[in-house]
Amino acid sequence: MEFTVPTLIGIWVAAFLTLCIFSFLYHDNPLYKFAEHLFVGVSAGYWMSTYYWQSIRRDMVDKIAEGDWISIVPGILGVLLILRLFPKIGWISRWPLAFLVGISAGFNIVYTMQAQILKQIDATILPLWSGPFWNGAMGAATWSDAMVNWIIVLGVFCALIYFYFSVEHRGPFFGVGSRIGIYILMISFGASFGYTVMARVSLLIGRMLFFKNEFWPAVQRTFGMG
Amino acid sequence: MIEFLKRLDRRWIFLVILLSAVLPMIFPLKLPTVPGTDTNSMYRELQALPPGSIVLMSFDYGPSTKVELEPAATAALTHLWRGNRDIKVVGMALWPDGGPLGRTAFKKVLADLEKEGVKKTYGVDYVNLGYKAGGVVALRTIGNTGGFPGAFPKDLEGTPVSEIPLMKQARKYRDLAMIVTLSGGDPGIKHHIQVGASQYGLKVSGGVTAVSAPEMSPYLNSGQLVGLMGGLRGAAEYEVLLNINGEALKGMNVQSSVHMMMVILIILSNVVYFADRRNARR
Repeated sequence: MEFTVPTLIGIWVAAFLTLCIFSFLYHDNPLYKFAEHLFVGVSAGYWMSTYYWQSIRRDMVDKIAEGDWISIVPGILGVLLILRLFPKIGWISRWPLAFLVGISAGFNIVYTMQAQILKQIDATILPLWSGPFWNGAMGAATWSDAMVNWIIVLGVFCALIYFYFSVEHRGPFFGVGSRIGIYILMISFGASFGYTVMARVSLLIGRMLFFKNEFWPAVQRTFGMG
Repeated sequence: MIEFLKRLDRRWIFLVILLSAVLPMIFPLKLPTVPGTDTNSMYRELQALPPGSIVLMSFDYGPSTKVELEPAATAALTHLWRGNRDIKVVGMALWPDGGPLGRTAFKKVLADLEKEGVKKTYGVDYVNLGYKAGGVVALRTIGNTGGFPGAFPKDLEGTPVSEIPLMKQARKYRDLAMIVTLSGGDPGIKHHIQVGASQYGLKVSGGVTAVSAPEMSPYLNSGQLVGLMGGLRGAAEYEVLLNINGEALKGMNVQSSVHMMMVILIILSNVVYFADRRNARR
């Protein structure tokens, strides 16, 4: 890694701020508060700048400069949205909000229906027997595939029974079905929890690797060691 | 003993977790990383791409998820270009930070592959179109008559798309062979499935954060996703398949060590809980 003066300063600042944040694990303290507030401020500034250069400038300002006046419409809607800050004319902000809700609902109803409902229902209609079973139609390739299909179909069915609240969950069908549904959901939550732990540990690994691969060489470079 | 564990200050647990993260870095455990089905499947799909294919790579992540998704991005890019494969890459982002992070990933992979004699030219072999606001609406815009130039009039560097040679070949979804998305949340992989896979029949694969990996199982099961790198572990598995010792693989020892410690702590706290309950009944 090549260390220029700005790089060295950047690494030292990053290490200091990381330690400030980690210090919260011991106790809440002014250094943590300082790093937290700095993070919020810098993030807001960075996002504002990024949005301007990558979205407002490119998709509106430049297009208007080229004579594409229709591009001013999203800008006007954006300004109307900010009018919410002024109580007397705040009601105007409902118009762009209605536009946003309408567009989002329109797109999502169609796309969610196709990709997340119909396709998923289709993926649950699975052969539960192996080999030919009816009118020349073929079942699952092997018995183990058929067993997996049973687990998927019964799992989905029982989880749906659990969320069916119009009937009391008692008896051999709704009672047992919802009970199995709970276990299926618990397994799913367990998997999610395990993966969440993995994600958080990954963030810790990122910081540890930073200290090992960037900060320690920077310390050596700063103090002329090694 | 039970009373001591019940009253144990949680900061001791933080210290134990810190030690289980730091020690494997100094004394590696050398535990094996075995590629899973989903990672293998993604590797096979990328390997099967014929020369001249155009891949859309969507950098839908920010600094908060960079540690998990940048290794996935570099692993996929390395696979696409290693051995000077003639695969074109169109980069884009549904997250504002994704454009600059994509630039970093391109630079990193090209610097690594340069030692192997791989040379790729910006604008001819790859391009970074940057960020487009709107999520699913932005993707739908690519599918409209205007195609990529309609959605991205200029690339990340400010060059008009009409002046970029690669974008004369990659105008619409139908010109693409596959979508590889590195997705840190919303918008991300689900929107590429909704538009790219469902509307245009494109193969979609990529990397996601570990938090969202279990949510992807139904899409893998239904074939809407053809492969997946789930979290840092997924990226490490891909690095194993590529036979490289990348950033993700370096973190796997720590991952295993911390997980083992977590399992021990969960068992221990359950023992304390049940022992305490038994004492209370007496």
